[in-house]
Amino acid sequence: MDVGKARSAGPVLFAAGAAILLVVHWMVAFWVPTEASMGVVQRIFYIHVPAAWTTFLAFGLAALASAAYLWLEDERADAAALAAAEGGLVFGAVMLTSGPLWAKIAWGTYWEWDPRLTLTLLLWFTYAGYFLTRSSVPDPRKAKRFAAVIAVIGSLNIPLIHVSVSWFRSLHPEAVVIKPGGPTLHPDMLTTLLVSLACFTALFLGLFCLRYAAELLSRRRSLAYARTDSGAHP
Amino acid sequence: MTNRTNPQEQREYRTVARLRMRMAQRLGSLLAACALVAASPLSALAQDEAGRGALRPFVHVFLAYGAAWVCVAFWVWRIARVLKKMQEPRE
Repeated sequence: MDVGKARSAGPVLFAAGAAILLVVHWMVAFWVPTEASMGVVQRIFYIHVPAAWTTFLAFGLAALASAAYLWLEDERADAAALAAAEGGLVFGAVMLTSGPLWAKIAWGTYWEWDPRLTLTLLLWFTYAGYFLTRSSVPDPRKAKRFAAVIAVIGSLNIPLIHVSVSWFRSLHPEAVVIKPGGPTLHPDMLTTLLVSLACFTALFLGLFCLRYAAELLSRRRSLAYARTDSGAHP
Repeated sequence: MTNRTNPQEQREYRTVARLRMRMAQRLGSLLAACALVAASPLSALAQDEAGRGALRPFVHVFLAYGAAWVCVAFWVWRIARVLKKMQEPRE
C-alpha cells in the first residue's frame, strides 16, 4: 500500500471507529438485554470477543505480510507486518485482561490453564518474541527475516485456538456466532456484537494504516540521512 | 513579588483575589456535594455483604472497558510519538 493512501485512510477509519465506539457504549449500557444466567458481567462479551477477533485478524495479517517479506524482501511488507503485529499485541492485551475479569465472576477464578486460554497466551508471547527478535539481532536484515519466520509459525496457532474448545475439554464456552447451525445469540446481543466488531475492526485498520505509514516514512528518512552522510563522508 | 503602588492596580488585584476565593469555595462545595451524592448509595450497599457482592460485576465491567481503552490509547500515543519524531529536525 502507498504511504499517501495509508496516511489518508488511517484517520478516516480511526474516526469512524471512534464514532461507532460511542454507539457501542450506548448499546452496551442502555440497549442490550442483560443475560439471564451471568448477569451484568456478560457485557464484557462485547469487548472481549471483538478484541479476540481483531487480535486474530492482526496476527493473521502480520503472518501474511511476513510471508510476503520472506518471499519478496519488500520493505513495505515488513513494515505492514510490524504494524499488524503491534496492533495484535495491543488488542491481544485487551482480550487477555477482559477475559480474566469476566472469568472471575463467571467461573470464580481469574485464570485456568485451559487449552484455549493457554494457546491464546502462547500466541501473545510468540508475537512478543517477534519484537524481541527484531530488537536483539544486530544485523537488521537477519532480524527482519527471523521475526518474519516467527510471525508465520506463530499464526499456525490461530486455527488451533478456534477449534480448541470443541477438540478438548474446556471451561471456555464454545463459539456462539461462527458455528455450523448459525448464531445462537439473542438478536439484540448479536446486533451489539456486530456493531462492536465493526468498531474494533475500524479502530484497528485505522491505527494499522497510520502505524504502517509512520514506519515507512521513518525508514525513508533514515535512509535519506544515511545517503546524505555517505555523500558527505565518502 | 510585585509592588503595587497604583491604587487602580491594587483594586483590580483585590477583585481578582476575591473572585478566585469565591470560585474555589463554590468548586469545593460542588465537589463535596458530588462526593456525598455518590457515597450515600455506595456506603449503604457496602454495609452488607450482599451489597458488596452486587457491586462487584459492575466494577469488573468498568475495569475491563477501562483497560481496553487504555491499551488502545497507548497505541495511539506510540504512533503519535513516531510521527512527532519525524517532524523534529535532525540533531
